[in-house]
Amino acid sequence: MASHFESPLREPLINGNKTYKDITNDIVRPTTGKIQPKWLFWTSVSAAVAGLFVFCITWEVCFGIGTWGANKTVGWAWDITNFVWWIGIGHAGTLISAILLLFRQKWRTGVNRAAEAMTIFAVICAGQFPIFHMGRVWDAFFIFPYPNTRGPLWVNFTSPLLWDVFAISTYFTVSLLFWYTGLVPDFATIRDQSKTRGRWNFYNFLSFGWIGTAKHWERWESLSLILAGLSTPLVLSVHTIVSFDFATSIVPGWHTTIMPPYFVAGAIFSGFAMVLTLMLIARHIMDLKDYITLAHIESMNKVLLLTGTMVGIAYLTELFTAWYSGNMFESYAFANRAFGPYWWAYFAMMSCNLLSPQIFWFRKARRSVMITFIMSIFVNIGMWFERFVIIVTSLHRDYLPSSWVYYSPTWVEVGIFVGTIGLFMTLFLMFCRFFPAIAIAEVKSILKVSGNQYRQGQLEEVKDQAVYNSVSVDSKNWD
Amino acid sequence: MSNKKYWSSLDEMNETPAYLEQASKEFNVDASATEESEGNEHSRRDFLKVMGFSVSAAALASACKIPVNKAIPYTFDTRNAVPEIVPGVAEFFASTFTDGNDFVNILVKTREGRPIKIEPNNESPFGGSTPHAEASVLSLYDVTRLHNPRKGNKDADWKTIDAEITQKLDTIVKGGGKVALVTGTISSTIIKKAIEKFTAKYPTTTVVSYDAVSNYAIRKANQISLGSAIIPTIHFDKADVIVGFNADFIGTGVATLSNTKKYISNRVPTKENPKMSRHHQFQSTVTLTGSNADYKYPIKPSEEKQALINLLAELGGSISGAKALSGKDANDGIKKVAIELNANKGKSVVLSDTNDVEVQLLVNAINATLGNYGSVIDTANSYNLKSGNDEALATLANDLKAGAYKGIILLNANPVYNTPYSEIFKDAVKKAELSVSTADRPDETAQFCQYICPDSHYLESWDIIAPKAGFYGFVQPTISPLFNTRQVASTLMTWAGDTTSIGKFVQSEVTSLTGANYETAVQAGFFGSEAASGGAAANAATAIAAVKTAIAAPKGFEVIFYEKSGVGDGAFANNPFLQEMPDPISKVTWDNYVCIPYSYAKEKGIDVMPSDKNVPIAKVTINGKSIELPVVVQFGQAAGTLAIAVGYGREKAGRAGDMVGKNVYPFLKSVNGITSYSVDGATIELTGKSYELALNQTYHTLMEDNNLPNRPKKYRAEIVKETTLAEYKKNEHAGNEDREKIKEEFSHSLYDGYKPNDYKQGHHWGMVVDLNACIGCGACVVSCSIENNVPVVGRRQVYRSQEMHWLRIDRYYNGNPDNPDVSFQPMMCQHCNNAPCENVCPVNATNHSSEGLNQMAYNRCIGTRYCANNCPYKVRRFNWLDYQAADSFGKFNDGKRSFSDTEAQSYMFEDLTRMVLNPDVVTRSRGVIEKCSFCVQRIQEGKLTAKKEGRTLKDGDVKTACQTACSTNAIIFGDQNNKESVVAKTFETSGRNYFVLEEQHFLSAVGYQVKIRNKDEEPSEFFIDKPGV
Repeated sequence: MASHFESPLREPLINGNKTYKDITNDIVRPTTGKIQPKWLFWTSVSAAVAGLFVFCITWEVCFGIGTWGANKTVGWAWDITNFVWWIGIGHAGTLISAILLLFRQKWRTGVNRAAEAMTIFAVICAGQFPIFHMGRVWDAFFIFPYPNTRGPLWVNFTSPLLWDVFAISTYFTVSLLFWYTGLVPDFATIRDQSKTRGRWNFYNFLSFGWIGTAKHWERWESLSLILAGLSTPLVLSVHTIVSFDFATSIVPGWHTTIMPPYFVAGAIFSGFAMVLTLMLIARHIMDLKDYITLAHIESMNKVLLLTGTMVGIAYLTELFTAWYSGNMFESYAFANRAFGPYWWAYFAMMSCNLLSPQIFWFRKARRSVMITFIMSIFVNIGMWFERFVIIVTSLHRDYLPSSWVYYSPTWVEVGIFVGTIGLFMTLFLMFCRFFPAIAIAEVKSILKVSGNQYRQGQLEEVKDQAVYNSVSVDSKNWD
Repeated sequence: MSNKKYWSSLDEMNETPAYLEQASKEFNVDASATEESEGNEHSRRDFLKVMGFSVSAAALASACKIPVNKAIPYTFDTRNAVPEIVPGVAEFFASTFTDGNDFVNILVKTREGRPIKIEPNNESPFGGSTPHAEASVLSLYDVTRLHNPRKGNKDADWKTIDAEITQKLDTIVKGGGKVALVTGTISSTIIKKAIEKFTAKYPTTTVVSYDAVSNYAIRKANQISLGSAIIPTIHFDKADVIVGFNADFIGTGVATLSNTKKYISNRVPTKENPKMSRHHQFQSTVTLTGSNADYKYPIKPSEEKQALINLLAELGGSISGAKALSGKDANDGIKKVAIELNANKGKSVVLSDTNDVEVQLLVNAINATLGNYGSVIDTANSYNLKSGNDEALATLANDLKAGAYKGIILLNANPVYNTPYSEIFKDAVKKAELSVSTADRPDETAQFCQYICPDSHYLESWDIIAPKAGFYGFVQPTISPLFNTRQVASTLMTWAGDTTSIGKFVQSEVTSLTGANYETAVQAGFFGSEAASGGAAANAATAIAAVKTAIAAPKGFEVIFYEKSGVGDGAFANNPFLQEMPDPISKVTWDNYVCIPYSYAKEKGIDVMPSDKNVPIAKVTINGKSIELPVVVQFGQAAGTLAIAVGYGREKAGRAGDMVGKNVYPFLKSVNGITSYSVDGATIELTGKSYELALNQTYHTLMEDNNLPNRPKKYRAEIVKETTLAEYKKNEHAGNEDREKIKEEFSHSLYDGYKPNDYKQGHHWGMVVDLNACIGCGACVVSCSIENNVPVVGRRQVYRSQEMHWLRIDRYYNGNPDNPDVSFQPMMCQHCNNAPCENVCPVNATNHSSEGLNQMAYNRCIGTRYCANNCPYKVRRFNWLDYQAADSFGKFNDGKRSFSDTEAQSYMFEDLTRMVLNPDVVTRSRGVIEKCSFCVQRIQEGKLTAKKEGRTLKDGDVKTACQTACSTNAIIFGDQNNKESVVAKTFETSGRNYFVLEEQHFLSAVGYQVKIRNKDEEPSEFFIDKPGV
């Protein structure tokens, strides 16, 4: 990464007077040292919860979807709610790595690796639901357009579910490539720190024999840019297509054109919230305060505020449109969301997603680790409820009142959802242990500009200029 | 030419003799091989030869040993004059179904020798279908039925049992001991004859018949006022005003099928003949009959007599004691009804099913005053149905208590379960010297009997049923008895020493009863004819004289014990189809409950529409005895009353019926020897517990809730359209005015030149559903389930809203919640031409046929349920669990594992029960969507038949299962492209025709006919009530 210019007035992105060596050591350390009991404990807990996922899925596949509370009216419930939730969470990674890369937002370097990893794991979790919500999962391959002897019999290209298959598999592939590409030089760094032959071989293999020549770097940067270019439309397309599952249907409450932008904003919102949750935990447990600074947190909180408000506007627009349309089914669907039997879900969604992020108008709140953590959890909950509200409360009362029902989940559905969180955490903890959780090479690239010791020097240079005095720089508050 | 000589060997050059000899042979055979073969060693060729022979021999031998599996044992024998069973072709046998209160001439559809479906015998005036008749075919394959006669708890053989029983009978009779023969209603002439033979041999026998739900008071009242203890025929078709007082003549009363057909024949106005009867109903709880009435007036059961006195006084009858009723509606109603009755003398009828002699006498007096006898009330044709005698039962109970009987024979009667004398019968049976039951299972009474001589199912039996004098229904076996059972008549005759085979006996009876030709009777399924209608009238003065006008004031809550049209009096409790058939009014399955009035629910703050199906449990105390039951708010139930269905709480019915609901027969009380189905002095209190009720419909009106202001009050009115007769007379589009506008709007398109497929080529299937003709009985639901192998899912699955019915009957209330109007709407796949379900399936498992059918490819379906979500009518059903052992992934719900019942209760895993499955319809595996196919198998069969006969398909050639089951012609199926078809004509010309949600442009193929109520005022507004949150 080429060095770049940044206003000296900006807050440093790396604290603690780090040298290149410090950076390497700090980030590689967790992958080399002894397995910490703390890590082992949490990984075991996560793996046990992931085991619950396996158990519940087995139960469901053996007996049938009837083990769920889904029913004749509410055909999709927790399954697709969880799917959309996880897919939404998976959005932050691509956004941070691709769009922020293109926009040259250097603060992304501290968080992009973990965010990308999170994307991959979230998409893995998300993918479980469309597969296992099928009544006949053993025939799931019918959904792929492959040459066959049945005619050949093709898939239905007009079905949004089929578009989902393409959208998600593309997204997963590109995200995986992007993530891995970024990892290549860092694997080489770990390899170079290796003390045993086996370890050296392992990381050498993972790094494709990277030796850091100029040619390597040049190609690596080109590839990163190409992948960023490819991923950028994906950020918009994946959740747009997921929203088509609803928007193209005829269910009142689903059938709205606002769905695609609304879903994309919501996805970024929930993705950033999940990144924050994880990063704050990692920052705390792995002692990465110098790399994930309050500046990072504040930037992400600003994104939360923006996207949360966008989502809130979408909620209000929906209500307005439902009223303005004069369509009785549509207006009832929204009245029912707010005042019907699932009013509490709507209330949870509104308060968590629209109201609570408004606290980030205050700088103090943006820079408070505790508030940020609580808010990130709120947003995660709120966004789950948003999907629940869209899916379940639209379905449970649609056209014919005779078929209106109330849906409640069974232990199997709850177990599967909780299980995917276990699966996600297991994968993430494994990632933290074996892979560099922060992009070493990229952080190094901004050290000379955004490291605190260099920033102090830059500040000294501009101290006499008018601009310095016109804004009050409170460098004590930087961390 | 050169003379050079070429040689290849020294031998050749020298031309040795050996060489010359060898060269003279054409083939140079390796001599060594031949030589070797002569020895013991085998050559390669020999090996191949031997090998070839032995392999083919082995193959031949083993091939011969393969056993021939005769999968289809019967084949068509052309030499035989009577065609035997042709594989794949259904045979129909005419037969008769009766359950004591109803009588139905049926056709039994058999495939490969097994009965699989009951169809109506439309040749007969009693042809038709009821839920009980439809479901009865499943009872044949009920594995709970006894496989052998029993002595004590052990299987025995008939010979031993017969010998022992006759010996004991002889001993008792010789000693002068009395034998009680307890039966239900017997309308079988064969059983009657058998009983005659039995009593001739054992003269100390007393025969007592009783009905669990009795109409004895009608007979007794007629005995007093008419001189004969009959239940007359009511010609509803001739009545212009019908007034019911707690009468359920189309739901659970006497001869409901015949009543229904006559009733509906005068309830469907047409453009040419815009006329329909007016039906008033005074009722305590909402019955099927009451829900079809034009005017309803809630009254307490104790007020019924007062109401009748008032009406009689209003009509000018010489009776004193008229006194205002508690409800204003009812008081106004009496006046209104009196005016209308007076205007329709001789063309009206007043009815009651209340088992109270005085009520029935008043009814007779009113009808006599109005001159309805002879025209509408036909006393010349009386029913043999519901012929139980309450007083005889009460006497028997007293005598049994006194130990007057030494022998008790229970002819399919279950008095321990379904009488108020449960304990007396239990003791008596235990103490008797001889106790025998002919129940087909060890039921509540039979379990205490010394012997059980199981009766055969009616589809295995010979019989002649006489619903009326002179008219007979023929019952013939359609399969040989599945178990070692023997029909009751045969059993009695054996004990009477008559060894005539039952078949022969029935044959001779056919001729001796009416002189009918036996073969004709077998073919037709019925013989004889009804008497000319008419008959004597009741004497009003006699009737009035026998009525005491003083009425005791009731205390506390009054409880009505009623019968549900599904489970009935409890005899069908083990039939899962009937348990799962939603109650037409409450839409509850698999349970009984206490119905409470809306006003009481409001007072107690009980959620009137519990959307999560969790209802409170209430403790009802009646005369010191308590029962805890779930609470259902019944709109239209009279204030101060409670209603509980009988027929539940069986303990020994079988897997499906055991412990479903609670038994309330013990709460019945006997008033002067007559069983009363209402008691007063009850209290109700909420226990604070809640219950998961298997409710099929949780939201009961078309009104949205009033949380949002300024909503139109007739909300969602395009789902069920209604109007009044007066409006309809003025305008045939009444109630359907918006249709023209909708049609106009859809004549434009945003896309120039876009023309959707209108399926004008070939067939285009469609259906007409007449909301006026539909009474909501549910026969179509059961018929559809049996025809299409629709699984029964059980109580918990229904609670989870995972029921599978392809066809359901939606029930909506509107108007005043204390006394609402009720609308029924059969709802099945609408086969939309612009089907929302089709384009969302990712794998093309559901698509449109060239004949306009929305079809399912089960094998392609992967079960994403997207189509079900996107179906606006919510008619798509998902196989949540493995219900029918059709699972390719193994059977986890077959009840054979310790954990397998944790998820499902399955009713179709027994091989025997699966015999009822229709082989023309594939059973669906777990995880696929299914739905109404318009009975595509019947369409296919109809088309093939027409093709074989070299003609085009005529209207009526193909009838769907719901259509055949509908006795009122509310459902008619046909080809929209056949201009002669009813469907095409209705779609084309009927002003009443509309499509549900038509403005959404799904282009559905099921046209509904606007419901017309014979009311003076506008259709009532959909009532506004905040639904359960």
